[in-house]
Amino acid sequence: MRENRGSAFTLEQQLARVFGLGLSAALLFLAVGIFLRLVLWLGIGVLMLVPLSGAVLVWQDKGVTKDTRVNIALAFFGVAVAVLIGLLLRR
Amino acid sequence: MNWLDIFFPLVTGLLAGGLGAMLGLGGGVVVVPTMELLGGQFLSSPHTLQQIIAASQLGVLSVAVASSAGYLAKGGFVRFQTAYALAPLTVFGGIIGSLLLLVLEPKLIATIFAVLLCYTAFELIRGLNKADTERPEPSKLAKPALVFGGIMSGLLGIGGGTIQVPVLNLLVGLPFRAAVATSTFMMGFTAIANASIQIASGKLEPELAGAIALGILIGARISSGWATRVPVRTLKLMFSALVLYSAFDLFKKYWL
Repeated sequence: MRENRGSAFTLEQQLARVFGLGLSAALLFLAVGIFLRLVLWLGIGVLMLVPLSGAVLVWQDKGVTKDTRVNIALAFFGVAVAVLIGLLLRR
Repeated sequence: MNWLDIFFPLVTGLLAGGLGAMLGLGGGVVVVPTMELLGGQFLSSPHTLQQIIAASQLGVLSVAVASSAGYLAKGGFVRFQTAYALAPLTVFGGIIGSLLLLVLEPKLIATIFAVLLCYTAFELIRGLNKADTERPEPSKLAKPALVFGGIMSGLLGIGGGTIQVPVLNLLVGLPFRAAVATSTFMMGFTAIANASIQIASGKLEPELAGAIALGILIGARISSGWATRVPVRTLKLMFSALVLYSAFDLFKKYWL
């Protein structure tokens, strides 16, 4: 597995930490969110942020090819388009 | 609010998350039919199909995060380059699917989907005794198949694993376990796009989605630890059985 710039952890280990932490935080927020709606939205927000943060980590990795970066950018663009469509549907 | 309004979606989520993480599915094939068929009996006020599909999208995201965390911690299962090379296809497919939901006849879509599921199960069972080796070159059919998987995920509230796993295994050439792990990893992006449409358009019922997501997170986290210990042949058989069940469920819902 590729080494990440300036880090003792491999890319996969760093992703595992991000996903693991995100999972724990989302679990906590969703469990509390059963009683508090605001915290529930926080849990939903954390869930959505985890794969996006993972993609940013991969983007920053030295061993990642240009093609992969383009694909990550396209996936982010797709998410932005989805939000826009959702907002248009609301009206 | 009745206690079953929280407990029933939570248990449904547990079941969906457990199966989803083990078989590389988003769990939507469990959540949507269960909530739709049994919701009326257990909930104080049953939800509409659109609300269930919207909540299921968040459930798919939960499976993706929980099982990816498990696979990443073990190491060597998720193929990042393949996942990110193919993720834009499923994301855009998901957007198209969410829009098609507004214009196409659901009976037509469900029928095509059920036929495809039967074919998927047939291909997996046929390949049970084949060696699980990597394919040197991905098939040209892989990309359109993944766009189609994305469309189905947006349309039916599923993760798309029923299509993605066989495509990654049979057409892209990843070994089955790597296909399952990579599929769950890819599902994250597709689910974010689909869930964003539902949230932004105001169709997400946060309490329902939150209870399903919580159950799924727990179920998926537990079962992703078991998935690597189950033999590939057993995984394929379980997956085929679930795919055939989903096909039967769709036929029953729209034709009988």
